[in-house]
Amino acid sequence: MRGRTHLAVGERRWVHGAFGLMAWIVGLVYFFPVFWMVLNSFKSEQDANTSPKLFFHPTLDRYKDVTKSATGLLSFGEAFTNSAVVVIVSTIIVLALAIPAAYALAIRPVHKWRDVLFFFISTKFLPVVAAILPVWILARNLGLLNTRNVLIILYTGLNLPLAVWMLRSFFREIPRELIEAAEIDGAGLKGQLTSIILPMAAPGIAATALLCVIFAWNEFFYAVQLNPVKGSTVPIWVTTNISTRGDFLAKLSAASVLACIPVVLAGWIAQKRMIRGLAMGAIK
Amino acid sequence: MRRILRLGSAVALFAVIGAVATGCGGGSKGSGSGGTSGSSGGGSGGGSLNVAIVDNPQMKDIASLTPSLFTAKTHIKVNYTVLDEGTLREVTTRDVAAGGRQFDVAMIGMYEAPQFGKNGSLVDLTPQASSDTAYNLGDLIPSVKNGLSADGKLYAAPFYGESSFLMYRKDVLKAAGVTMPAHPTWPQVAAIARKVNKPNMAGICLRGKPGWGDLGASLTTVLNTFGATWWSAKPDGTVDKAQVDQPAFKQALQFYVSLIHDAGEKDAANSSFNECLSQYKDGKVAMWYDATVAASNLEASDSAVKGKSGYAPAPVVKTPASGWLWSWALAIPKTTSKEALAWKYIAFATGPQYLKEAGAKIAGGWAAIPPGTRKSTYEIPQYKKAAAAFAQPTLTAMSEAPINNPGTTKRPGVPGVQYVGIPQFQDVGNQCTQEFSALIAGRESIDNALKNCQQVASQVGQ
Repeated sequence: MRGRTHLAVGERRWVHGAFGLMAWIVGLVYFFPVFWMVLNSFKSEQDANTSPKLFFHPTLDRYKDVTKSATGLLSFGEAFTNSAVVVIVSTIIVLALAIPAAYALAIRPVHKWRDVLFFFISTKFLPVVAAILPVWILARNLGLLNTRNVLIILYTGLNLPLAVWMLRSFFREIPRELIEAAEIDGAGLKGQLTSIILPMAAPGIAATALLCVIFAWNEFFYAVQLNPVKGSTVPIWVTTNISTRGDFLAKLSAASVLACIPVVLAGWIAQKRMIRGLAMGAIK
Repeated sequence: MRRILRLGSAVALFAVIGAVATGCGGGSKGSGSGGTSGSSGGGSGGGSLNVAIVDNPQMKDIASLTPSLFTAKTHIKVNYTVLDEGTLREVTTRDVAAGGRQFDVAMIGMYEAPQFGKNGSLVDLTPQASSDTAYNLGDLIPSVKNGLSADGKLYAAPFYGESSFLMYRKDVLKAAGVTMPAHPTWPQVAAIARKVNKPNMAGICLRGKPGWGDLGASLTTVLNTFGATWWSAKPDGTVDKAQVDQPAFKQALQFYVSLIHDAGEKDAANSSFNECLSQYKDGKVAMWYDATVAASNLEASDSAVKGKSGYAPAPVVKTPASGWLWSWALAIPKTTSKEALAWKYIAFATGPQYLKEAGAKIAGGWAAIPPGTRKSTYEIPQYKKAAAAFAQPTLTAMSEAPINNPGTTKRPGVPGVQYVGIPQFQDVGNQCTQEFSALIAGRESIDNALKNCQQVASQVGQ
């Protein structure tokens, strides 16, 4: 009996080790393109475009190249400001709308709440490319082409269904007894929200907000179709470093690294809350 | 009372968010703090222009020189939107066709210019260009000017032009005891490629990446000179029947694919201009058939193959010349309300003066000024010196490009060499080159690829 237990422990270690090794391999495979991009960003164009080299003379010149600004051309600073405004405002609006909607679907389910949830997710069924022409015509007629407003409205619409679904799952994890106890103590809707629901769902709200930020920060299709002239965002700025007639890999890598930094930083700062959030709710 | 207060707070919150959003959007629209700086400032009374350009190095050079060479003199601020070729085409096509009024000047290609001009979307530039003596319309390379015109009217002013030719490593061919003929044929080039092909150096680099402007461009020049064509033409110049299933088409495609399989570059199905450029500069290919503008990269001061290359005309079979003809050119959409300002800018950007001033100011030096548009470019002493290795072969290729008669039979649509000048070619070319690229990658048989392509091409004109 003792020997069998000992064997089982050994087997378990072996299995854990194998899974650990597999996780490392998968992680490295996923990380390799990012590593290569960072490495390329410190190379000269010639080094980046010739046979792969691990050892080279590192230079910051590509970062200087891509952050150099010229009158009339979209600069990194302008693109960054536009992206930051669009992302922050759209995420605030998404949360302001999604929190009450999730409450109405999770804590006090409205009539036919399943249909409501399906409706929310059904707005994601249509491929964006199929909707671009009507959206473009509407934006043109409303005078919204080449304004940040058009992206704020669209990103709010794009992220709202996802936020409602995620927040509903987080809210459902909150024990009903706590809300009932608050009600008995005389807490109204505002009291329940501010003292019970929001503090307990804070990691989930942080996780939702971060996902909205990531999706809005990285969105390219609508941005390039509706906002190519003024108010262009970071993804568009990244593509201005591509050249159809000449080497551009090192420059593009440097631009991509700069574009990734805000999202990576936001993820790093919100890491603890986000993992708790993801573990407690929708993606569990 | 509390309920009213709560409602009031909610309304206030949304009002604040709305105001922030409106303020932000309005800011980008009005103050020019958006994608392009100073977008509507307009300088001191000169006005402003929105210009869409493609992401080529020469276009980026002019964008950086505009404030000093143009805005300082005219007080017209120019806001550039730099987009990749595909997106530029998509965005400008929709803007021009649907009246988006986003751009006052749009960079379009030789494929679009006569088609858009004919359908009435572009301003005819002939009156301004011919009355502006400083612009010197007669100086434009005739084939380029013709390619951008329809019914004798110039619809776009050329900023940059290119043809195609064969680039080869003189040292490699010499070591193999081979001499490149002055006017090579494709069978001669194929024989040389197979002879110099080594495990560490492919014989030739040919485009294999799907896309009507990638594989489609190179392959169509080969089809033309083999006597093949995508479609036959009716007497009135419209599309008659798809010709992809004809023996000449199969023969040309078989030749192209076999050459790649026998002596082509690695991963040819994913290679286009930039990939071949890297491989050639890295010493991994001995020859390369592509755009003439590649030579300025090969002869740049930091190039490992500087001075080692020879340049021969595009190889032929049944036609006297087969090089393609392409130009990126500036056009004025009819929807703009700033036609006069737009012409002032175009006259600056595509005029002879910019070419003379830019050489000393751009990072790449004289060899990097926009080539292939004006005869006078090839008379500038500094340019002749800097581009000695490739200036004359480029000018010859541009001048000899068979724009009006690229093959052995009449073509439908407006003139074009490496494409067919009908709106449907983009789609047919993209779909068919997917098939042909799969054939190059070994995932498709030639008969299937041709059958599928014939089916796609047959839908045109039905």
